[in-house]
Parts: sequence; structure tokens; C-alpha cells
Amino acid sequence: MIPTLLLLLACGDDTTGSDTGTVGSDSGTTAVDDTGTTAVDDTGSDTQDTEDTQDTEDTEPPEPEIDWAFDDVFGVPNVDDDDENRTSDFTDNGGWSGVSGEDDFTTLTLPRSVLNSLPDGETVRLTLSGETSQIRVHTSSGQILGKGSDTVYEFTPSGKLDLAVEFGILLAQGYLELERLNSAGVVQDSTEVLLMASPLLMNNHLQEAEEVWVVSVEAWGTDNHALVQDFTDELGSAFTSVNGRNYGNDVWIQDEFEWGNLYGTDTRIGVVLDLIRDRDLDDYAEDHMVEPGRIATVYGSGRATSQDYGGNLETSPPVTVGGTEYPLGRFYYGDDGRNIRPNDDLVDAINDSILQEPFTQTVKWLCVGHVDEYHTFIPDSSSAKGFKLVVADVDAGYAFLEGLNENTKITQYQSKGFRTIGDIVDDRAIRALNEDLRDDYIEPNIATFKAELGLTESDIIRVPGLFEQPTGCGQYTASLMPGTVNLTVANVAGEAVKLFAPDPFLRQNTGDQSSDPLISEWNSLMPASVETHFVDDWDVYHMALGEVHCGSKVQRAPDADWWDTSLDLLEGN
Amino acid sequence: MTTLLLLGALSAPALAADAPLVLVEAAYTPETLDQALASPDWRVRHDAAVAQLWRDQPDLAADLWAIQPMPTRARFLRFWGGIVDEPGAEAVLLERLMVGDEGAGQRHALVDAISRSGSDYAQAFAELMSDEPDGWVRAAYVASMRKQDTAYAWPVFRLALSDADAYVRAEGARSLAYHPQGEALAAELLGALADTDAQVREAAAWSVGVLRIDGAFETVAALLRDNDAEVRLQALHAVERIDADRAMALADPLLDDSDARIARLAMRVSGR
Repeated sequence: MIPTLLLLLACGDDTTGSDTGTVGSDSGTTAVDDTGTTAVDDTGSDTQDTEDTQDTEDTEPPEPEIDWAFDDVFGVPNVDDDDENRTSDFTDNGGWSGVSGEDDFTTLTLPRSVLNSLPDGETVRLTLSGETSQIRVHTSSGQILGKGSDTVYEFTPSGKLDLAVEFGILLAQGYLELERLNSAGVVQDSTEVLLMASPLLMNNHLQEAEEVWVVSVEAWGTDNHALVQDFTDELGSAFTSVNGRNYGNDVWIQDEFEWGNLYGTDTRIGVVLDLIRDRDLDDYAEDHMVEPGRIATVYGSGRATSQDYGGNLETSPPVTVGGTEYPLGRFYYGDDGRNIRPNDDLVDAINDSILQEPFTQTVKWLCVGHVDEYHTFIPDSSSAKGFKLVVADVDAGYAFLEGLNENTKITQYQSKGFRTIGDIVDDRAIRALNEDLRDDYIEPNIATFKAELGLTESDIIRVPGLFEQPTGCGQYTASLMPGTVNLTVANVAGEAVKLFAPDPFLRQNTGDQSSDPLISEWNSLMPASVETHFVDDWDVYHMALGEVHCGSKVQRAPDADWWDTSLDLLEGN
Repeated sequence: MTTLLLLGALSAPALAADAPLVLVEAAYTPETLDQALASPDWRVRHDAAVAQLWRDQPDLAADLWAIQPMPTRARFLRFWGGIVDEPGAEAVLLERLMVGDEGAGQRHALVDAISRSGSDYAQAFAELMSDEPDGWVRAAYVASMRKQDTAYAWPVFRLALSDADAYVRAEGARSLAYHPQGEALAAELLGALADTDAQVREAAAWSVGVLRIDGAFETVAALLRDNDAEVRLQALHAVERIDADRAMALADPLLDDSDARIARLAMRVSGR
């Protein structure tokens, strides 16, 4: 981990100028005109300018109605590094144009049509309240309010005024009161605008995939070239192959990072949570993912448990549960309710994700201990909810296998001690193990999904799945057949929804996927709107107790305006 | 153990830098090699197999001597795929295991890889296990016996169930459930039900259930009152498997168990 490269989401400096500044500040009112600056639009293109024309036929024209109301401001904390000087831009305090490439301010426009309609002699007073040490308001002439400046600013309007709002931390919240004052300083009208910075919002599988990463390795006498080629062929420029030689051939990119976003009405910063796993891939985020508009941040410290890994941190699609809408989905992670759980700092951060209220699943039965080992969510445009929960199902597993010819040879499974389908079906310990897992963990976890996400059985696709106790895992388990549910959802804009699932190799001819009954079974169960690509993950992933999802990472585009859909969730907390 | 041979068939540059010093202990003719490969003595067979691989595929042999296991997603090391799956590879891996100068993580990975090779390793493992100092590696030897000939598997399971390390005893108890004739060691499993370590009782309870050992019903039923929830859970699974009718009457006290898994299972077992 390279702490110096990490841009803190929470800026600690609370020093603020004269937050308690007086009305009309000691420099007096400031006339702000709309000429000669790049930031102020003087083209008269405001749509509201058309409203400036007044009917003059009446002898006593009515007082012009002034629409003294403005949109709330929802932006991002300015914590990326647009000028790449290794300091977060809010810390740089470069103002609107002082930071090269700065694009994280949110504009609050006071239209020409409104300001020009104010009676002569009126001034406008802006008063900032709330977390004033984490907010700045700029004009093209410089900062006027907030951290390091005053909290009150008064000016004589002249033409349109653009106010650029900058936030310092997640969920920074303030209010900007805008008052019209007559020449005697008496308030004629007043309105208030909410200023709010984005929370950290974790991605769910229904959001469009923008970029997919897999680590390419050729080591230890094997490689994953075929799998990487499949991703390349299907995703083209949306796919990035990480050179494993530079990162210790650590293929578990799912576990090292977790992607999310900060976003506002017209701003966005991608956030890669650099998890405290800190194995060979640790530096990759700083080396290749962090850039203007993308940051890396670390939650937690100290020695990680497996539950701190990205494969154990997932987000459901949007759901409605008991009348409560979660338009951004719900975050969930695996624990055992006691000692097996993510790092406290990570749990605290998750629990602060109040727009994606978290819940937990039980993972103590798994050798690796990640929620992605037994289920996933896939888009399903044909369903009312827009998705399906896909789970590895023991009963479906046995029903499927028992429907096959027991003498069918399964070449790939010889290394697991199974030469034929019958060898699996007839293994009484494997059957007992799976029945117990079904009753003690899998079905209760499904019940939790139903309760916490408002799902019914019709929202679930149960696919054949069995588990085993690999050598080295003691009583704990991993997928016996490659866990087809442990897949990557790549729904790139303009293309079909592509699922990259592990090839189950439940056939004699390992080179002929068309002869694989489990692939046929899977395809018969999936919605017509998705296409599944079965990739060979056996050597590099499956035998190392992971699958395709574990070996991939996806950044996704935001798709729900949290300020429109989810503020009630904030108010509820 | 030979440490190795057949220089005449092997050019020096073909050896990896860290390959073992090649010493000619024996020179096989085609006839003596075939005889050695068919020997009832596993050590003779092994030496011949290693010699054969070095002779026929020196690059592969050298690579196998040098290859290191990769960390799994669960952190422990494992060999998989590629050259490890090549026919005859297990001979060099077993040679490395017998040399014994690698760490416990590597030795564990070697045992695991050899056991997945489908080769005839049981006789060798039955001997080698007793010399293994690390409990986790010994447990891997035990797990490797899940489907092996009882002539080799039984001594290993018995040794495991009396091991000083509870993890090994638990693996012994658990792996018996996977053996097609595991019930033959019912007496040993009954003893494990009384182990002082909960993980051993848990594994033994699960196994007597899987193996449906009638004579263990009363003993395992007593574990329904065990202080350890994992033991109670597996004991309840076991009594249900052995005799579901008799188990019904035993499940009632567990309906209010503090562990939700046990309470759920008790509900089902009791027929409620």
C-alpha cells in the first residue's frame, strides 16, 4: 500500500475564515458583472431570458413576478487530483480555474432573467450555513464563501451569476440562503438552497459496465490466456488485461478492490476502495486506476481477514422492501454474526452507507468465506424487478446429476477423485455435506435475501451447485463443480448483457462445450436477455478456490439520481 | 530415495539451476527399469519412475523440481494445472516431498497435488505421514486416504485419530465419512466422540451420521447437550440420519437452542 497516494475522502482541516462574518462584509457590496470572464455566460442563452419581456400595454403594470427560487446543489467532494500534483483538489484550494482540469464543482446559476428583474437598488445577500468548513462557493472572480472565507457575501447583481459550489467531504451538507435586500437593507424575499455532497455509492450489477479488469498470468506451469482472450474478444476496449508479472501473479483482483462512485447532477468521481488485503495487487489501484476523476481510498488498517476482501462485499440491485425503496440497492457482506467479519473500520464505513442500508449473510461454512461463492444477481429485463437472484442450489444439483447417465465420464474431475457422474451422485459424504449446507446455511441465506430485499421465489433462479471440503480447508467448503454463479456481469452500453461464467467441464470431451449438459441446463434457466460465455477458469481460479468473479473487477456507471430518489433514506437516519 | 541418476541421458544444461545434484546411484536398462516400475516395493517403483521421467522428459522433470505452488484464495499454497497434471509428474513431486527440505506450506501443497494425480501413492503416504512434523501437513496425508485401499488407509486413520494435534484427529474423523468402507472403523469413531477437543467431536458426530453407525446413536445423542454449538448441530444431524424416528423425541429440548441453525433443525427433526 502506498499511503501517500491515497486521497483522503475526509479532509481534516476545519480551519475556516470568518464563518460568522457580518452581513455585507467589511469590503462592502461587490458588483458582479457578467463580462470578460470565461466562467460567466453573457450570451443571453438562458432559457429564462425569454421571460424578461414584459407586457407594457397596461397603464399600471403589475409588479413583475420574480421567481426567487433556485435548484438545490448536489455535487461531489472534490477529493480527486485533477492537476495530478499528488494533493487532493479541495486541499489545493485552487479555486474555480486554479486547478488544471478541475471539473468537480457544481454550478448554481442565478439567471440573468431573474437578476435583471430585481428592482433598482436591490442587492443580493448570500449566507452559507451548515458544514461551512467543508464547502466553498466560488465565482469566476474567486472564492466568496465557505472554508477559509466568510459565510456571508452581498453583491449588486448585474446579469447572470454562476456560483461554483465545492465540497470537501462525503455528504458535506450546507444551506445557502439567498436574500433580496432593498436599498434600506430590508429583506424583500428569501429562499434557501440545499448544498450537498455525494455519499459513497457502491455499484450493483444492473449498472452499465464501463471497464472490466482481469489479471493475465503465465506462471507456475500454467496460464489463463484463454480466459483473458475470451474477455478481450467479447468486451474489446472495455476490457483491461493486467500484466500479472508486475503484480506477483496475484489473480484475485476482485478481492483487492471494490469500485463505487461519488456523483452529483453533473459531476462524478470514481472511487476504488483499496481494501486492506494488501497482497501483490495492492499497488495496482495507485499505479493504473487513480487518475483525474478517480481516486483510491483505504478503509481500515491492520491485518485483514478474508471477509475484508471484495468478493465478500456486494450490493444488491434496486429493491423495495416493505414499502421502503432502495433505488441504489443494499450493500451486504458475509460474517458469522460473531468473530468472522470484516475489519471494524470497514464495517463502520459500510454502516455509514445509509443510502444502501447494509445487511449480512452467513459465510462461516465457506473455506474462503465470501458471499460471491454461492450466488449472484443478474439483469433480467423481462422481469418486473429487472433482475434475478441466481443461487447455487443443492437440490437442483442432485436432481440435475441424477438425470444424467451415471456412467458419463467427467475427465476434468479425476483430480477430485470423481471419474463419472455416478461417482459424485453416489458419494454419501458429499451428499450429506451438501444437504447440511443447504439446511444450515444456503437456505437461511436465501431467506435473508428474501426478507432484506423483498424477494419472492419467482425472483430466484436456482442452478445446480454442489460443494466439497478441499484438502487444507478442514470442515469448510468450496465449489465442487466450478461455481457457475461466481460470474462476472458485463453489461456494456449498447451491447447484450454478457455473463462470464466458469466452464463447468461436466463432460468427457473437455474441448467441446456443446456436449456439456450443465451448460445446456444453465442456458435453459437463464433469461433470454443475457448471453453466457463459459470461460476456462479451472486451473488458475477454480483449483485455487475461486472462480471468474473472484478474478475480475468491474467499474460501473452511476444510474440513479440519489438526490431525487433517496434523500428520504438520509432523512430517516 | 535416489537423488538422482541417469546422467548419461541428461545433458547438464537441461537441469534447472536449483535442480538436485545428480548422482548416478543406479543405471537402468530398459529391462531393469520395467522391472523396477513393477516392483511391490513402492520405493523401488518410485526411484524408477523418477529416473524414467528424468530420462524421457528432462525439461519437464527439471521444471517440476523447480515449480512453486501458488497461493489459493484462502491463502494456503496449492499446485494446480499445467505441468503438474502431466503424466508422471507426481514422481518428481513425491521426490521433493521425500527430500523434505521445503516448508510446511510447500509440503502440504505437494501432498495435495500427489493425491490428486490419480497415481498409486497410498503406500508411500502411509509411511511418510508418521515422519511429518507439521500437523497441518499430516492432516493432508489423512485426507488423501479418503478413497484409498484399506490396507494403507486404516493405519493412517488410526494414527490420525490418536494424533497429538486435534486438527489431525478431526481430519481423521471427518475423512472416514468419505471412505467407502469407513464404518469399519466405527469403534475408533466412537472414541472420537469423547474427544476433549470440540472440533474432533464435531467431525466424529458428522461422520457417524454419514456412515449411519447404529451403535453410535446413544453416544452421539449425548452430544446434543454438548457445550459447543457446532457439536450439538452435528450430533443432531447424526441422530436424524441414524434413526429419524428415535431422533424426534430428542429434538424438543433444542427447539429453543441459542444457535439458530440448531433450533431450525430441531424443528424439522421433531416433525413440527
